[in-house]
Amino acid sequence: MSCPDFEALSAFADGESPAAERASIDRHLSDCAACRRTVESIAAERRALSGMAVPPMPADLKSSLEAMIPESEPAWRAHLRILFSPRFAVAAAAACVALLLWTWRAGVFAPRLELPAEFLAAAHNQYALSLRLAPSEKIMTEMPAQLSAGIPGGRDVY
Amino acid sequence: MSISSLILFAALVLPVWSEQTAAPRANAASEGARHRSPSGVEAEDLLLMSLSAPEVSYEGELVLETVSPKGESVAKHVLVRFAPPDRYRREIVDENGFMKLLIVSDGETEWVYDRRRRAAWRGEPTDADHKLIDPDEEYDLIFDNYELKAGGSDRVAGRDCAVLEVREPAGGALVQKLSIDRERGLVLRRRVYRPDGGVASHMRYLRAVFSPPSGDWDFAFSPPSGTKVAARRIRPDFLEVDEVRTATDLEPRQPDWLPGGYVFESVNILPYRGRTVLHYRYSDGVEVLSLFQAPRHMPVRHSGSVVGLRVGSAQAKLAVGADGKMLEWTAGDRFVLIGRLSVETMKRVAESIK
Repeated sequence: MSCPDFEALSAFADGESPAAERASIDRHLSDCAACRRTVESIAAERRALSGMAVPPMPADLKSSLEAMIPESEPAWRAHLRILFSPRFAVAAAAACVALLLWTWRAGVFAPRLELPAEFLAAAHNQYALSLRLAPSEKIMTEMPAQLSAGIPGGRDVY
Repeated sequence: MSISSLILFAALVLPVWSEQTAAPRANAASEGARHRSPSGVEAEDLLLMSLSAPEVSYEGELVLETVSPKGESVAKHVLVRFAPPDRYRREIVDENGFMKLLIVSDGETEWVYDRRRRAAWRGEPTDADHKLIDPDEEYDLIFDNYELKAGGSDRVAGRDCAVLEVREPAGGALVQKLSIDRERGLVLRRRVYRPDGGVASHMRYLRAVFSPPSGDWDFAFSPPSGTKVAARRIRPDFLEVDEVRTATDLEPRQPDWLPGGYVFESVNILPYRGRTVLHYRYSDGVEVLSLFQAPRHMPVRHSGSVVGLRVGSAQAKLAVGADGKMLEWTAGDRFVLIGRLSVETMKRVAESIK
C-alpha cells in the first residue's frame, strides 16, 4: 500500500476511518515510520488542544456582528404598519365618505316614514278647491275628517 | 362643420326637442285633445255667472248628501255665511243644530275646527288668483273638454234657478248639473255624477237669504281652551317645476303622457315631518289629477283595503274610494296618483314616468 494522504491519516487518528480502511492503514503503519510519526503528531495536537480553555468573545465583536444582521419583524406587525400608514388612512377615509354619501342619497338607512293617505287626499282636494267648478261645499265639509285622520291622541299630522 | 353652423343648428333643434319632451302645458296639443264643443251662448253665460262669487253677502242652510258607490248615503247640514269679497263661514251641525265642524276664513287666515276632537288647523285660504293658469285659460279648458248645455229651470230654496249641465263631449255622460240662482248667480243646487252615471254627491240649499243684516257675523276664530292647534296646514302654492328643483333633493319626474284634455298646471312642495313631498297638479278644467313624488322610504298608510297590481315591472297598490282612486308604486322614488280616471288610464300615466 502506498502512503495514505494526510486526511486519511487524520481520520485514522480520530478513529473515524471505516473498518476496512483502518485495517489497511494499520498494516501500513507497521512498515512505514514516516506515517507513524504523522499519526503521532496529529494525536499530540489533539491532546494539546483539548487541554486549552475557551477564550471569551470580545465585547465589540458581539455588537459588530449584531449590527451586520438586518432587523426582522413579525408579519402581523408589518401588516399593521401598512394599515396605519397615512396613505392607507386617506384612501380608507375617502371610501367611507363615498359609501356614506351613496347610502344617504339612496336612503338605504333612512328611517321608514308612513304618509297617511288622508294627507295626500287633503292636498288633492285643497287644490281642487281652486277650480271654478269644484264642488267646494263637499270638499270643505270633508276637510276636517281628512285633516284629523291619522292623529292618535291629537298629534299634529304635519 | 364650423362653430357658427353648430350654434345655428342647436338654436333650431333644441327648442323643438324641449317642446316635445316637456309635459303638455295649457293650449298645447295633447293626445286626444278635442275641438271646442258647441255649448251655446246661454250655457256660456250661465257658467260665467256661476264662476263669479256673489257681489252681495248671503246666509243660508244647505244639506250635502254624499253617496258611496255601494249606494250608502250620508247627509250633512251646513250653515253658510258669506261676505264679499272672500270671507266665509261654514258650520256643519248635528241633528240638534250644534256645531260639529267649522271652516271659517276672514280672507287671510282659514281655520278648520273639529269640535269633537278638540283640534284646529290654521292655514291660508286657497287663492285661485295665484294659479299659474289664468282664468281665461281655465275657462277655455272647460269648453275644450266638456259640453255645456242650458238645461231648463229649477226652483231651490224658494228661488228661481237656471239649470246648467256639464257633460262629456258629444252627448257623453253627465258630469255635473247646476241650478244657478237667476238673480244672484249662486249655485243653489249641485249634483256631481260618477262615471257610471250614479250620483256621487247632491248639495242643495234649504234656505238662502241675500243681503241680510250681518251685524253679529264673525269670520275670525279663536280656538277654545284645551284645543290642540296645528299651526301649519297644506299651503296651496302654485310653483313651476324649476322652482322646486333647487328646493328639494328629489329630482322632479313627470309623466310623458296625459289623458286627453289634461294639462299640467303647477307643482307644490308639501313638507311632512321633515321630509318633502312634491305634488304635481293636472286638470282638464273640471277634474283634477294629482301626482305625488316622495322619497322611496315613505310608503302610504291606507286606512281602507287596497288591491295589488303592476305598474310596468313595479308592484303597485290601488285604493278605490268615493272620490276616486289612489294608485301607489315605487320607481326609484315613491309615487302616488289620485284621480277619477279609469284604472287603465291611471296605469298608463304612471308607466309614462321615466
